[in-house]
Amino acid sequence: MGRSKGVRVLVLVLPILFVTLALFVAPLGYTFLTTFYYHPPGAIMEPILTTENYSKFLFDSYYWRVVGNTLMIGGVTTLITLLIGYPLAYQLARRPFLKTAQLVLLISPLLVNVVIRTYGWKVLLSDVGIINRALMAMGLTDSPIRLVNSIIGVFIALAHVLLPFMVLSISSVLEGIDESVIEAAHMLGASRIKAFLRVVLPLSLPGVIAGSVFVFVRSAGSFMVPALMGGGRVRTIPTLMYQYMSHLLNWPFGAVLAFFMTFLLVLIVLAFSSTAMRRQTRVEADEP
Amino acid sequence: MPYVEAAGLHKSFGAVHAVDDVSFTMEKGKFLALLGPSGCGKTTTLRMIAGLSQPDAGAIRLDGRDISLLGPEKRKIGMVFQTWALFPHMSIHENIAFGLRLQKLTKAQIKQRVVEALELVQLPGLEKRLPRQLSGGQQQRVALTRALATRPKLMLFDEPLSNLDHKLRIEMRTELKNLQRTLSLTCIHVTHDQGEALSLGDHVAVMSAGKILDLREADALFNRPRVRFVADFLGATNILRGHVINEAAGDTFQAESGIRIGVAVPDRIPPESIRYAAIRPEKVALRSTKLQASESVNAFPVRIAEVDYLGTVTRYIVDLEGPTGTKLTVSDSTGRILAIGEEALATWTREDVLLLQEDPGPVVEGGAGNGSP
Amino acid sequence: MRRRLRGKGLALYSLLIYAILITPIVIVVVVSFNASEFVSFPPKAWSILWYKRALLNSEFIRAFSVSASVAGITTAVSLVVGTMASLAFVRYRFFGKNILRSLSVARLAFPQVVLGLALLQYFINIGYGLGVKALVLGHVVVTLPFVVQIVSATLYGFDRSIEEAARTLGAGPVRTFLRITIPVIRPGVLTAGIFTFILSFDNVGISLFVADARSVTIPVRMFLYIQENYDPSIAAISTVLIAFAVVLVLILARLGTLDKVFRGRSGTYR
Repeated sequence: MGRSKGVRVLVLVLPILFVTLALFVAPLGYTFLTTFYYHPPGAIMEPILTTENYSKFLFDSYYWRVVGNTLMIGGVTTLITLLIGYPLAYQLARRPFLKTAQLVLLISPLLVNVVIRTYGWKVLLSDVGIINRALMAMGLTDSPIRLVNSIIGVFIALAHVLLPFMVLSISSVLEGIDESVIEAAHMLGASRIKAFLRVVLPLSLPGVIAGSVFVFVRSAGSFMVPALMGGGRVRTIPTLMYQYMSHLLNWPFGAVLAFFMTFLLVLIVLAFSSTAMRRQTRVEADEP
Repeated sequence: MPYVEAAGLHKSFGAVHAVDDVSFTMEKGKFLALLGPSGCGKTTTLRMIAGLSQPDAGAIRLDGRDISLLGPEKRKIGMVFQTWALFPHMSIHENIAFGLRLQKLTKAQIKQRVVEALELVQLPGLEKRLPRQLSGGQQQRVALTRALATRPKLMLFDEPLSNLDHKLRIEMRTELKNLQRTLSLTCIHVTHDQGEALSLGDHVAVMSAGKILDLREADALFNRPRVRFVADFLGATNILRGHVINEAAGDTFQAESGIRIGVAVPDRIPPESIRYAAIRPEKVALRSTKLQASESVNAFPVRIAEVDYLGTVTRYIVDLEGPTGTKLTVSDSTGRILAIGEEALATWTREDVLLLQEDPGPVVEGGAGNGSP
Repeated sequence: MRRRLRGKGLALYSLLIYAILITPIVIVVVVSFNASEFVSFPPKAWSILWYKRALLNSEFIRAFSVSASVAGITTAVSLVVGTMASLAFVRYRFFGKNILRSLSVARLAFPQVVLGLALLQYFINIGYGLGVKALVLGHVVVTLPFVVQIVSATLYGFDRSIEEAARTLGAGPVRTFLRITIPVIRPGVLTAGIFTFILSFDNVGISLFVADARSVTIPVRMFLYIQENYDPSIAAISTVLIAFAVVLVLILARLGTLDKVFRGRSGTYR
């Protein structure tokens, strides 16, 4: 590469390199370091190395339950958005009516901040909210179902927030599928359902995986929704982290929680992507 | 002193020699076509002349000036691209005015030139349109006149006609040629289409694997190619490998496969350098087997192996009788159609046999200038 | 006949989902016009008094201006850095390109609370401090991947021969960049800019940790307010922000670049 080109690339890339290193890698590295710091009672932290934060975390089953809860929320939210979102994505990609209007409807909630959206659900799902009143009026229940301040409310709000991402991810892949591939399947004798299951679905897998990874990480790592909708009953790592950082002022432990969650998420994402990739190649080998 | 001169141009991408010691000259007002298969280096050569690519070695001179180190904006060269490259966010007027503004013309002068430019290519009144509102043919003409408007010393064309449909291509070809003659433009045109190169070019250079194999006037190149690759590329596909022997009856070409053909070795070619004989399919006539071979005519009994009826022309593949296993392609426009398995006599004259050297051949003959040493 | 039914079925389903998607937002808007102090849906009486109250609340006003200035600076910085990086990623090959790119993409989904926490500790430890300057840096880190994604998508479809044509017509490299390259990628950059502005404006995860007492952003201020108050002034503020968001989406729709926003995504997660 010529010298002037090399200089040009360097100049173009330097800022993002700086941001990535100084504002992403370095802070995370530092946080990892602080997981070994000492938390003196009454103060925030001191640079004395200790493993007591880790032992506190690893040996108390309470924290493991919180971890499990967090992952469970991630998994369930992903499932919900996948099941609800796939048909929507299918329609958007292959048979859209008023596509621009649909995109507007899909994207505008994303531009409203999460506090507002969660607040809307709080009003809707509250004990005196319209849902409960309707249910009681129809005689389906005697007393209001607790939706707010419960994990169900968390699921609903999280799915609402993250659905557009799943839909857009899947639909953009579905759009790229050539119509003639499906037609070929029909000509070879496949019914509509068969053609969908054996041709369209596998081909849409990259979008499904990308969307699922995104939703999983975002929902497991969500703070605001469990904090507002969970009402203290729903404990996730992010809400716990916030507690330890702002109220208990135990930063090293907060860092352990942060680091551990990241570690877990990365593992799960990698495992998920690689098994999905293997499945995909197997499906491709099956097809003649 | 030649108007355009390229001397010893080299360009490699990694281990690949895209352009390998290319040199040529051009006189003012002439049209040079660079012809060759994809990957032969013709586009790379053109881009080096434009200044869009830096040669690893070599020099380029235009009208007495060495422009090798100049950026493209300083070379006073106009270029028409394969995708026409009209600025999508500017009107046609703005597109054409772009280069003129940089020449510091006044607003009035620019307006005048734009109008003239559009009239030149029969597109009056389109100043306010956007490129995407124009058809392919129209965009192509705007691209052409945009480059011409700046009155460049040299015009470069990078396969600008390949994105047009066939009929339009032929039309544009004629217009281009007329324009060039009327304005006495000096042009270099890159193409992989043999017909385009031969009809547009005063001179045609055939390139392969980074080298210029031959550069001559169009008809000379077509009728009297020097090397095997060029002959093959230009359609003389019946090629036999062998050498010339001098017999009492006249010059004969002894093919390695065994057959002997009567030939006429021209003075300009040293007989020892001849490695191939080629006959154009159009020059082979299929006669009834009853005729006798005479001294000046080559005649070989053949059997029809394949028939391809193409309307105006019928292409046959015929097997030569005998152990040599030689096949010939024949292009017959008499209108008769022979059947597979039929026997006939394939004939051609001595003079119709092209005698060719090994690639790459040595120096280029007359007309356009010097080739590689 | 069955095919049409199925098509209609899907369409109906989609409509239902869209209705559910916008319901909470609609509720917030309606609630904001509640006359009483209690949030009830539907409101028993209508009034705009909560708008007046909200607009008079100095904390909200202040948070709004903090959010706006942070978003503005973040957008400017992110656009410049991100566009430069996109040019490098799309047009050149260089050492470490894939790693840098993956790190950039990974940030799209990275849990913001973790990053917020990390930045908090980091900024304090290196003595940089919190507040607006920390907010800007934090927002830039989070919005940069979006800019890179969107601008890169625009650049992939860019026909470079128009730059070469400009060069042969007499324009030098700088003029070509300014007069040709930038105008042609402008829609993509504008979209990226609008998105960045919104993302920064709405950001909660990072802002929660990195703001200081004097520079709280609107979402954080709203979050804190909700912990203690139940009156509809929150709904009033929300409605203003919602109107804002809708206008911006309509601008995006007009630009015609709505699909580009997410088109690049699914291919680049690996």
